Amino acid sequence: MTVKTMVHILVIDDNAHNLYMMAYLLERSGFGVFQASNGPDGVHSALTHHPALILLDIQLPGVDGYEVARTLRRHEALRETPIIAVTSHAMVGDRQRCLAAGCNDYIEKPIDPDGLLITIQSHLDAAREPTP
Amino acid sequence: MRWTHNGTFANLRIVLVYVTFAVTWILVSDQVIELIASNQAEVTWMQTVKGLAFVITSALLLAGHLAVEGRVRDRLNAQLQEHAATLEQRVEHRTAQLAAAKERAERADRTKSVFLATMSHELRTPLNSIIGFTGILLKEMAGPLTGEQRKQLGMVRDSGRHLLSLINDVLDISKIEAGQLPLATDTFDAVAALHESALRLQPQAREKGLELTVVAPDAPIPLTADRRRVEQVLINLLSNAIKFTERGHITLRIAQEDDHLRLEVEDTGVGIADGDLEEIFQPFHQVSDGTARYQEGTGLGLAICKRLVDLHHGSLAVESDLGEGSRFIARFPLQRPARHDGAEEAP
Repeated sequence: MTVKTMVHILVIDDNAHNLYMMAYLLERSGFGVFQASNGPDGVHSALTHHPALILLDIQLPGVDGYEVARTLRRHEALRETPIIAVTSHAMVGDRQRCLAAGCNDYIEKPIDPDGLLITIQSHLDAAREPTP
Repeated sequence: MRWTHNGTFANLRIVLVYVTFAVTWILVSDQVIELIASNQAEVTWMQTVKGLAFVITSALLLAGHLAVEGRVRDRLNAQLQEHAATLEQRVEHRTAQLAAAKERAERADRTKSVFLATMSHELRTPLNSIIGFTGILLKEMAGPLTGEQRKQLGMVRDSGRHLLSLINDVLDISKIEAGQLPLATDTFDAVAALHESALRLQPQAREKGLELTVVAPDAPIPLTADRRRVEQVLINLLSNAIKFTERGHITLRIAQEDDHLRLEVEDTGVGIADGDLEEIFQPFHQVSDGTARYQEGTGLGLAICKRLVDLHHGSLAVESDLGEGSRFIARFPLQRPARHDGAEEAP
């Protein structure tokens, strides 16, 4: 008998509806979900739960997503965790900033359920492969 | 000018006085001397005195004239300086007023930009939820849907997407107008990227029964530009073509022309009257038939296209025959010029 452990994803978003939407979508797709509504809580949650992947809203009040990504990357345990930035149209052109801050990829709002799941799966697959 | 004229006049008067004085002196003095002198010795003596008197009087007159002229000149100079000073003060005052007005305008402009950026973020956040949840419902993740529910949810999603694109347009144009639209620099195959963008509009064209054809070379055309924005230009042009064409076809031609990428979007739509061709690239302009705007939209699409092309140092042109169709031609330099536009340095 094989025991399949649940893959957990941390969602950091300040908007309650967005947070619920992402969590619902991910839970329905078979993931476990941790939620945080601001940067510091997100970093705390990431360090506590060690999620397999982090979805990070860039436009957070106070500490913005770039800063959160940089903070996450400073921790040894989170150095390899895939971080996907979630940006809106206003931030277009800041793709380089997302990547420079330590994110692996970025997706744009509004979330397309299929697109989001495909992006998440590809990063989980890539993370599972041993790095040379 | 006024003073120079009066000065000349004053000099002329002085000369007249001199001449009159000299002539009178010469005519009168000799006769007077002859009358009162009793012998030749007295005549000689009197003529010497007369000569001396003439020289002294002339000298006094000249000195007087110079003094008067000097005073007049001083007064004129003083007046001139006073005028100059007043003028300078006025210029300084106006300059200060203008600087203050400029500062106020710039502050208002910054406030406007910040307001628009904040507002559009605030508007987008709930809209993203609406579109996202509708997507989840349509995927039937929250339970099965009846046909009618699916249809209506589809309409909710389409309206949401439409509203979002309007908000994005308003944000784009305000950022461009404020010189705050940074361009990313990507190097990519324009043929593949634009072909892919065009395919995304295929369903829209098919829905209206229009044929969308892409004519492109087999070889890639490497382009260094903001990929997102180049695609945005093409999608805007194609959406417009679909929007304003009721029957016929739309053709996209992608080609390399010297050191430029050339995009041509041709349609068989309503076309644009000659008088309107100049204005279609102005913001908020939508050509109407005089009774009502017959297409929804902000009228910002072409204005955004034009500015995005300009930011890339390219060009956007249009040819059209009313009732026959239109042809839009966008040209992008294959390499970004070394000197950048101000937008890139903008914060």
